[in-house]
Formats: sequence, structure tokens, C-alpha cells
Amino acid sequence: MPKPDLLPGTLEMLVLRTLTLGPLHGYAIAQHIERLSNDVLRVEHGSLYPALERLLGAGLVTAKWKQSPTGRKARYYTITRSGRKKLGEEIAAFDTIALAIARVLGRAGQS
Amino acid sequence: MSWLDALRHRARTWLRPREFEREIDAEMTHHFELDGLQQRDKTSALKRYGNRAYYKEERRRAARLHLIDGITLDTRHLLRSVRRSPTFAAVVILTLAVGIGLVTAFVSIADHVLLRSLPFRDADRLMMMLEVDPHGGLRTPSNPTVADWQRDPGVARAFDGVTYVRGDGAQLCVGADCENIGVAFFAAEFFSLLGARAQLGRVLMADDQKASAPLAVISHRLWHRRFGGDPTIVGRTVIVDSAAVAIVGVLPVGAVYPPFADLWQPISQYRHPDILQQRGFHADSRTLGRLRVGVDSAQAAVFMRTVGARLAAEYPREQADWMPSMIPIQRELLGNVATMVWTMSAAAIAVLLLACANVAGLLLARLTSRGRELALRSAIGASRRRVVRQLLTESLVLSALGGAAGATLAVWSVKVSRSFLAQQLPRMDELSVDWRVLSLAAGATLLTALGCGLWPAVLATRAHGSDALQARGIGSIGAPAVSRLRRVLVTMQFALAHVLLVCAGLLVQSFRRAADVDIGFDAPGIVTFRIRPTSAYAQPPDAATLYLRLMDAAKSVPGVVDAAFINHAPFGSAAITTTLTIDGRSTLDSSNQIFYRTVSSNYLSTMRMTMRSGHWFTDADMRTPGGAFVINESMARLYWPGSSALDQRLTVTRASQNRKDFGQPLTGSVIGVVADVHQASQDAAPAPEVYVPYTLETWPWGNLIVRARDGARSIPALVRAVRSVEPRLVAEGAVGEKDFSLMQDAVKNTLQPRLLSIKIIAAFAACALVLACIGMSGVVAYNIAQRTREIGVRKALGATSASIFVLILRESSVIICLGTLSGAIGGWASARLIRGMLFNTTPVDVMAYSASIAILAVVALSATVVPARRALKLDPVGALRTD
Repeated sequence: MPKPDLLPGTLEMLVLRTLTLGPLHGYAIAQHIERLSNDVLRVEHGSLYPALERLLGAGLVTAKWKQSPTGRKARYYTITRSGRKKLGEEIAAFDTIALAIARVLGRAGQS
Repeated sequence: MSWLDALRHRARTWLRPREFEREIDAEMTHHFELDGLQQRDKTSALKRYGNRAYYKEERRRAARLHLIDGITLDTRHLLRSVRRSPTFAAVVILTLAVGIGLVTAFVSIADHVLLRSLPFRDADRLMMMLEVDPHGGLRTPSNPTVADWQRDPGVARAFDGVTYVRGDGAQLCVGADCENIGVAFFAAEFFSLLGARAQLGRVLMADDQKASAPLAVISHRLWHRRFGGDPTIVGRTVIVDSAAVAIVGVLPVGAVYPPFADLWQPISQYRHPDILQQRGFHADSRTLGRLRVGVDSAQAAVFMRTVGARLAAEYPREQADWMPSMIPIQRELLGNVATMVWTMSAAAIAVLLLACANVAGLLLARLTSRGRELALRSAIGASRRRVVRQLLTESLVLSALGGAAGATLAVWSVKVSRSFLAQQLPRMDELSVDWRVLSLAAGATLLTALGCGLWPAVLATRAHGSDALQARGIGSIGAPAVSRLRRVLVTMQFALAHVLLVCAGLLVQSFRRAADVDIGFDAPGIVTFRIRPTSAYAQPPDAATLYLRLMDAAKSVPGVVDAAFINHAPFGSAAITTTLTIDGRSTLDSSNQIFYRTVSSNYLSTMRMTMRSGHWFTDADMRTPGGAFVINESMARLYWPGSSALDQRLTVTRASQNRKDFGQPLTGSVIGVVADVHQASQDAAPAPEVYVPYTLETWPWGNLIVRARDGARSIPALVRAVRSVEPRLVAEGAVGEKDFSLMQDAVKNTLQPRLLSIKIIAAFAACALVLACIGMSGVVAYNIAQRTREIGVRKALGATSASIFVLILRESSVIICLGTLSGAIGGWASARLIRGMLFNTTPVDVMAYSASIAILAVVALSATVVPARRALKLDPVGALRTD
């Protein structure tokens, strides 16, 4: 199965959504996204970090080095309040676009 | 707060880029470790992650670190080029430092002296009330006149109020330490009209006028000088003229009105209430008026004229011809310092302009020589934005350094000028560089950076890279336009420098002429002592005995030639005028502007003055005074032009207001005419004077004039002599000895403001000249560099050094001539602006112009010769191989 490319900005949305579960480190975020999408959305792990950096720069997440359960030091990312707000907006916008695309493709209401 | 989180994150990344790198590396390692544990397959872990180097760079880009990289790179470029040509950077930074520093310092001084309002509420509405006569005479009105004004409905419509303040000297004693200070006795409404609040304690209000115990407010400067700024001063008792006075408040810095006062007491405490009832001229007093909101001084003058006319009719003896007038107290307190400060600020701004022109010229020159480097950069892919940014960073860094150096220079020069100018300008002790001025320096820096950096940058990038790469010779981006522009800039610089030189020359001429003025007496060797008798000498006979004993004591001091008495010495701070009536003439012909001098018989010989006609007072005139006056030449010329003043009868009035017989007429004839003596300064014309025997009207205080072989060295012995007569006249320590001064110093001091303005203008002119020379050297060096090949060819074909020198000189002489010419015109124009500072010197003084042209020519030629020598030494073969 070919891996579909992600639309720009989608990765950030997925990361924010994942972080609503609680503070996670980078690898856990990558795994979570892969698992939930049944391995359909297989992003290159490396691309996750520039996305996180952009979220940090926009103040949508914060990062902190903490002891992980395995005893290693890991950098945990936490979604901020404005991150949650942004996620809400993004999901709403995504729904609108997804619906519009579905309409154009003549599939509205079928699934 | 998302922006706060973002900011914190950005700041952390930008300030510690190394730590950022370490963190992302650690995070990546952690990622791979976990992935390895989960998948047990190393190769696919790498595949899953993607291009590590790419994502790391992406991440740095997301963190905007590439911007920092760019700036670091630009700075590194800059440092490298600074290392290659440190002179360039040093010259740019120094140029900016001088320009910005001087402007900041002068703007802070101008701001302080002129713009910062006095510490009074709406100080621009406060007026000093005066009376003027048709001859241009001025006097401070009397208390009864002010009382009449206060009752007048017209005055009430123009003013919130007018109030009379009586001045007096008093001895202030704190413990055993005494000094003489100025005291102001004020009426109830004074402080509310003045609009001054106390910094400590309170000011005195209407109720305090009736207080039985004497209360006083003191000035900030007295509080600092005598009480060391003691915060518990309020409630303390001091001794003022042997009476205990309680201090209830301290006024803020600069709140000093009248300007002579250091202590304010209710007028009910004034010791000579009878003076307050006299009409006429009240010396040592001030009348303060506060204009109503919406009324200007012209409208107020209309109301004042009405009351003035009424009073002139009611009291013809005292008020005829005297009409009310007013000047803003800002002008009274700040004086004519304004012209000087504005001139200096203009000169400072000229120097800043020069500095900016220079920096622009330097950056342009550098740019042209770097044209090919920039073209190469564009050719290998640097965007236009990137190139402009690089150039901007360079000029920003340079001007930031220049601005920092300038701010340091400004702080330093303000510190220096505070002590240096304290003698010349009022209220200098309060001067400091404030944040507004510092931000002004920052603004000037930024503008310079943008102006001098952005514009050449745009110019440079407009050219097509390939053109510049192909062009032969040393860089040629917009070369003709740029070099024309640089020539214009340098011409402008020489013109500005010449304007300043001309102004300096005119001021030097004025100073020389003022210093050469014959003051009418022999100042070196004269020591003056201000006699301030204590209340024990309040009766005239006692004071007269005291003066006689003081003269005898002074004469017995070894090295002393003679000693004399005068009420107000020339070049002293005080003087008094009398009312003159000449027999058989109308009052219109007389004036109140006659200085009134009471002198002892040996005053003429002690001062070494010259008689023009008739004779001076004899001892007999002293013993039985009356009927004889000596007048000065100016007075003789004014009232008896073309005929002899000798034996003319005239009447003057007694002038000491502290005496009961104040204003009584004294009639006599002129027995002698004495040559004019300058009274206030060498550059102010002498005014009419009448001399009367000091025994005719015993002045309540006065000056002991002592001629010694060596004035300065005889002061300690004179102090002892005065103390042997009356110890209370000279307080212990330096306080009392300040009352002794050397006449020569007093004479010299009057020209200090001139000397100061010369020094400052000359310093500006020197700065301007140096800057213009730097610009000139740059232009010449650049031209030579551009024509290296041409010069090489000429030399190879046998041109002599002289002919090549002439070639180079031809171009710079055009610049010098144009600059000098336009500078001369500018100098003539600005000389009209500083007309007030000129003395016996016209704006077209030949000497000033020829000197400044000579200086300019010599300096400009040497600025040409130094780089030109390089061209002469040029090896023709090497030059032809250039490029």
C-alpha cells in the first residue's frame, strides 16, 4: 500500500491531538500516530521534530526533560492551553475541508 | 500565555545555541535507543527516521536559528574586514562618537538651560513686573505702587495676582559658623502665586504672616551647602541676624525666586517697615505677577498702562513718566544665555551632519572597493536580501559601537561641563544627561545606520552582478555617480567647517577687542573686601567710624600702598542709581539711570583713575561734605554736550533705602570730570556716574579698595587687619575670606563667557576640520586608486612627479575652493545670527575671514598631499599590472 503524503500542517494537528492524552516524548508521539492510523500515516520519524520545534516556537506546546519510566532522561512535550484552542480550530477547519473534498468527489453521505 | 511560552523558548534557543544543539542530539539518541528496543532492527530504524542531517537542519530552521547564523556570519565577516582595515572601523566609530556625543551633550545642556521649565507651576505665565521711563530706564516698582496695582480692577482682570517681595542681606549663623545670605521677605500670596511646593516640610502660607515666632523656608542649595541635605532640617532653629528662626520647609532644586534669595521670611519680619511705605524706586526688590489663563503679556500691558497713567497723575513726584512693564521670569532667570546655547547646539548639529556625511562617504568608498566581492556573492547565489542584510548588519554594528562610544562621550562631557560651566551658566549644578537625551543619541545612531547603510546597500545591489565582475579597475558599482556624490559630500563638509571657523574667528576678534578695552583704572594689585557691618553699626556715625578704622588698618599692612572706600565697586555684583535733576531744565531731560557712588578722598589715587577736567574731592570736601560732585565723562557728554560740565548745578537724591533720609535731595555743583571707568564688564559701555563724598551719605555697607604691591599675597595679612578692627566682619574659615577678591580676577571673569564660547566653537571647528580632512583624504585616495593605471601609463610615458601631483591637486582644489566659498557665504549668514555675541566686530571682519581661509587651505592641502605622495611613489610597471 502506498503511503499517502500528509497535507502540510496536518502533522502538527496530529501531534497536538496526541498530546491531549498527556505529556509524551517524541518517540511515543510517533508510535501513537502510527498505531492509531493503523500504520497508514507513516511519517518519517525525523519530520516529527521540526514540527515539534514549530509548535514550541508558536507556544502551542512546552517541553521539559524528565525521568522516563525506563529510567532514562527524556524530553516530554505538553500541550498548552492555546495549543488546545488551536487544535479545536484546526479540527473544525479540517472537517470543513474534508467534507468539501468528499462532496467534490461525490461521496458525501455515502460512508 | 502562548506568546510568553514562545518567547521563553525562543530566548532559550537563541541565547544558548550550543545547548540547543546538545538537546536535539540527546533527543535523537533517545529516539533511536527506544526504537532499537522496540524494533530490534537498526537499519529500518534509520529508514524510519529519514535523513538525519536534513531533519536536524529543518529543526534549526524551525527554531529560526538560521537568522542568528546569518547575523553571526555577517559579524564574522565584519570582524574579518575590520581586522584587515582597522583604521576604517576606527575612523567610522570615532566619527560617529564625536558627532553623537557632542550633539547629545549639547542638546542636554540646551534642554536643561532652555527647555526644561522652571520648577514653578506654569512658569511661562510668571512675570517680573517693572517700570520703564521714556529714556529706556528700568526700575523695580515700590511696595505702595504694587499695592495700588493690587486694588485695580484692570490688573485683577489680567493677573491672578501681583505680589511684592523685599530683598535683604542677612547673617545666617549655624552654631559658630556664620555667612551672609540673601533673604526674601514675601507677602501672604507669594508662594501660591509662584506655584512652588516644598520638597521637604511646607511653604509658608497666609496664616504664617501673623505667626509670632519667626518662620522661614530655605532654598535647596542652602540646605545642601550648610546643612548637608539633612532630612531632619524641618523644625530646626537657626540664627538670622541675631534672631532665632525656625525652618519649616525646603524648596526643590532650582526653585529660587528672587534669584538672590536663599531664605524666605514673611514680610512682617522685615526690619525696616518704613522703607515699605516709600514710593519711587525700590532697589533690592521684586514684584511677581501671574498672568491669568488666556491673557498674554500684550493684553496685560494694556491694563497696566491704564493703572500706570492713573498713578502717574496721582503721584507726579514719584510716578511721572514711569509706566508699568513686564518680562517673563524665564528670561530674567535664564538671561541671554539663550543665544549662546542655541549657537552651540547649531554648531553641534553641524558637526553631527558632518559626521554622518563622513560616515556615508566612508561606507560608499568601501562599498566601491568591495563592489567585486559583492558581485561575486550575488553570482554564486546570495539573494539581494542577503547582500543588503550583510551590508546593513555591518553599518548597524559599526554605528551601534559608534553610538555607545558617543553616549559614553556625552555622559563624560556633561560631567566635565557641569563643573566647567558652573561659573558661566545659571543652575548648572542640576545638569545631567537624562534618558530622553540618551534615547535621542540612540535615535541618531539608528538613523545614521539606516541612512548610511541601507542606501549604499541598495545602490550596490541595483547593479547587475555580471557588469561589476566584468568591469575593470577597482570596483565600479555606480562609480561615476558615487564619486560625484562623495565630492559633493566633501565640499559640503569643507563649507560647514569653514562656517564654524569664520564664527570662531569673529568671536576671537571680538574677544581681543574686548580684552584690549581700557577699563579706566589699573586693576592689577587691587584687592576688594565687601564690608557687611553687623547690626551694631546700624547708626551712620558708627558705620563711618568703622570704615575709617578699616582703611587705616589696611594701610598699616606691609605691602599695601593705599586703601579707599566706595559703596559699590566696579566689576562688583551690585550698583545703585539715583534720580537726577539739572537746574533750569525740565525733568524730561534728566534720567534715573545715573550710578551713585559714595567714595573716600583717596579713591581716585587708589584706583589710578584719570581726571579729565577740574579736580577730585579734597580732604576738606570729606570733612565738610556738600555742594560738590564729581561726574564721569559719559555723564558730562550726555548732559552738557559740547560745553564744560564744570560748575554746573545739579540735584541728586539720597539712594540708600535703608536710611531714614532716603530720597532727600542733594544739590551741588560739578567740581571735576573723571575719565570713564567700566562698571560691569569690558564689553559693556560705561554708564553715567556721579561721585559723592562718602561722608555725605554714610552707606550701610560697602567695599574696601586696597592697592597692594602683590594683591594675592597681601590677603592673609588683610584678613588679620580687618579682624583686629571687627572680628565679626570676617567669619572663621573660607566663608568670610570669600569676601576678599582680586579686582583683576573680577575684570577677567567678565570675559569668561566670551572665552568659553570661543573655546567651544573652536573645538567644534576643529572637529569639523578633522572630519572634513578625513573625507578629503578618502576622496583623494579613492581617485588615485581608480586612476592607478592611468598614472602608471603617464609615468611610463615620462610624466614627472610634479605634473602628476598637479593632476591630483587640480581635483581637490576645486573641492577646496567651492567649499571655502560657500563656507564664507554661510559664515557671513551665521555671523548675523551671532551678532549679539560680537563686540566691535562686523560680520565681514577681514582678519577673521583671511585667517579662517588660510587655516582651511593649509589643512585641506595637507589632507590632499598625504595620500597624493602614494601616487608619486607609484611604480609604473606595478601600476600597469594592477588588476
